[in-house]
Amino acid sequence: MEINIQKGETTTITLKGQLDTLTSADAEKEISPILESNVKEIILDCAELDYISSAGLRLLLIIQKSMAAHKGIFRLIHTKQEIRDIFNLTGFSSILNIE
Amino acid sequence: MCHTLYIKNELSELARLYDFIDQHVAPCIANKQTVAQVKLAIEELVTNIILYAYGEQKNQTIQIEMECQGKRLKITVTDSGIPFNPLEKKDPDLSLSLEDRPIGGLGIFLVKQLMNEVYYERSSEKNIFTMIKDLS
Repeated sequence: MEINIQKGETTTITLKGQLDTLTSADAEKEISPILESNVKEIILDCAELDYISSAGLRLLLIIQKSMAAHKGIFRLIHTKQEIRDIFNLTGFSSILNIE
Repeated sequence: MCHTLYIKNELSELARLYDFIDQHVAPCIANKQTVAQVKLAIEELVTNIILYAYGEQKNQTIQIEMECQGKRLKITVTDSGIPFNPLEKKDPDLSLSLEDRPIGGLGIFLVKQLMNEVYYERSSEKNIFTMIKDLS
């Protein structure tokens, strides 16, 4: 999986490939410093995110909780249908801002 | 057609599991979405076994067997860890708000949702978990 981070007041994270147990652990290491920096907005570009397992959902939940705690915004954009299906199945559709 | 993979109880072994799924499981399934669902179910189950079945013991074996029976795919995962029936675990409450949602607890729920049939058996000091996906 490739992860690309463009930092700013709005930080855009682009994920390409699969967010599984192994890659989620790597992604969390890269994303944690951003959450600690109290960034105002994080956009997750999911245009090329093909697969997500519960480890990936866990990471998204961590990001969402962290942003909510300091009144920041976390949005997912360009989410593929297969990923939306998993979000619907797990109730994550009502927890995340999915576009 | 039947294929078997043996892995150790380490998360790094998941890479071998993904390769096994790509090489032997995916070719049996015409629909891309179904491949993703099966892959997800296998990943969830095996990850749980790696993390919890053997306690502190290292270098323990987990067996993953796949059998393609035409319109049916059968996956059997066997370990010699502590007796544990994942199906006894309560489903997570999906209606909880963000603040109340615990981090974790979705793995087995996803297995049950994504596979058509799931079975657990404890036999000869092994946990045997079987999952069936209807491919028709």
